[in-house]
This record gives sequence, C-alpha cells and structure tokens, in this order.
Amino acid sequence: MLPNKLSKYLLFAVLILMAVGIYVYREYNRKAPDTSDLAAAYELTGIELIQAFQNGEADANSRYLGKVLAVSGVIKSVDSDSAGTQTLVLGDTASMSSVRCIMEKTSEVASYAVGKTIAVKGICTGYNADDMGLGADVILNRCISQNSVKP
Amino acid sequence: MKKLIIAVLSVLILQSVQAQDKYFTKTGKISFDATAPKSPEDIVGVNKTVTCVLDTKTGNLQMAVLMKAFEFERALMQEHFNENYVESHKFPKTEFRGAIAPGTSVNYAKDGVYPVQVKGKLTMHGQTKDVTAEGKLTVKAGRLQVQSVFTELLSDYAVAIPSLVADKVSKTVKITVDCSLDPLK
Repeated sequence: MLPNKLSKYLLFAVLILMAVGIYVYREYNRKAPDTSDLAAAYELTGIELIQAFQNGEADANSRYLGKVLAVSGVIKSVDSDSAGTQTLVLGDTASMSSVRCIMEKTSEVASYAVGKTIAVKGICTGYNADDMGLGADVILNRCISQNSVKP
Repeated sequence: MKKLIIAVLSVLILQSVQAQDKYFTKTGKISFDATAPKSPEDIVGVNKTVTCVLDTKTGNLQMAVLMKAFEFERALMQEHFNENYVESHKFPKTEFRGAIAPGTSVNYAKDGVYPVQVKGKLTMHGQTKDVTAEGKLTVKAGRLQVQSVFTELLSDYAVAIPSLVADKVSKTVKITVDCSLDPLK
C-alpha cells in the first residue's frame, strides 16, 4: 500500500499526463476552422484592397496576408476549373485587376450573377502584381458568402 | 477607302493571331510532397491558385505561386509550413521564369501529347536556383495542359528542417505541376 501522500502525487502526475496527451492529440488532429466561425480582421471593398497592394505590396502584405477579410464588390466573372473549384472574380469591370475569391462551398456560387454586388469573407493568401500581362490579383481562399455567416 | 478597310482588318487579324500565342491560367495546381519513409503521415500541400502563362511563340513559361495558398489536411502542419519552413510572411511568393527547351517539338495547332523539357529559374524562400524539369504538354481542342513532376532539395532553398523531425521530413520535395491553360484573348 502506497503512502497517502505518494498516491496523491501519482494521481496528480497521471492527470497531468492525461491532460497533456489530450491537448497533443487535439492539436495534432486540428483542422482549419470553418471560415464562417472566424471574425473578419478588416472590412473593405475589393477596389480598396487592390489599391492597398498596388500602393505598397510589402505594407499590404504585413497588414492583410493570412488575415480574414470581409470584402465587397461587383462580380466580374465566375470561373470554374475542371475539379469543380469555383472562383468569384470581384472588382471594377473596366480594370484588369481583381480580387479572386476561391469559394469554399461551390453550391453557393450557382446563384451569383455577373454584375451583382456581393460581400464575401475569406483568408488573404497574397497578391500577384501585373507582371505577366494578366492584370493584378489579390487572392482570398476558403471564401464564403457573407449571407451564409452563422448568426 | 478599300485599302483602309483592308489595313484595319489586317491589324485586327494580326492582333487576334498574336493573342493566340499566349495561354494562361489563374487556377493552376501545384502540390508538393515532403513525406519521408519515417513520416507518421503524408506531408502534402496543395495550391489551387497558381498563375501560369505560356507564350507559344517564344516558349517562355512563367508561374507565380502564393505560399499562403498551400492547403494541408491538418491545420498544425499548415502553420508549421508557413511559419517555420517557408516563412511565407517574409517570402510570400514563389516564382518560376523559364522556357520550353529549344529543340522540343510541339505543334500547337495539332491535338496531341508532347514530351517537353522546361528550363528556368525557380525563386523560393528568397533563393534562386536553375531548374530543369521534364513534363508533358497536351494540346486539346484549343487548350493546353502543362504537367510535370520534379524534385528539389529543400536545402538549396535554405529551408531548414529542425533536428527533432529531421528523419520525419524528406530532404527533397516532390513537386507536381498541373495547369490547364486557356488562350489569352
């Protein structure tokens, strides 16, 4: 029979080990959170976002890169690739530069018409300057329509 | 007047033909695999927002890859990739500037699968290296598909692997490129 004090220490050690184990297991298996559960760090229009990068890519990167952004703008086009990934292209139709929003749920895209103004929330993954003759783009990943944000 | 119309038409046709020289995508795919034999799981990241332009007249090929756009099965792996390995806050973009090697025969007017070799400079994590990659270029119904698989040494790009996980992350990374290109109008 272990002394009472030693038993308490052992029990405490086991509890600590269990807590560490649970933490490690949960952290290791953690998935990226749903965008709808994330609060936007900044709210701005697509045109403002493009201008921020055009005015200073390094500053805009330090402010927006990896952050959750709520961006509104006019839909210029809806692009689909062979894997079914759909991209809402927002911005000024007179400009080649755009905010490209890679949608998380493709089912949402069906109702989006070119010319409609919408607001999306997504994670800013960076900026491609117009050095290939294709226009400049700011890319947002894992986007959702603001209409589908949980109350 | 007739000459003027012919001249205008000629310019328009010429512009149209020149535009067809370039093919592009903004939704290209690049994945990398750094799984080592002792890795407890696959270390695979996928990027679906690659910008790629091919000039069929010159053979020039250019790609831009945003590092934050690589997605992983596990959030922790994605965080380690961005913060500890490629430092995407410091080096947000990887770029390739190169060309289809001279002597490679591709008939862009005829559907088919053409083996190609691409040579150029790959800039990642602030380091630029000469790269040669074998691949194939598929011409089908007016579109092009560029595919390649090649390996790079992480140490060539100053990507350090912590000693604690040295045997669990491969020292070489297998890069798979798959870009479907549309004509630039």
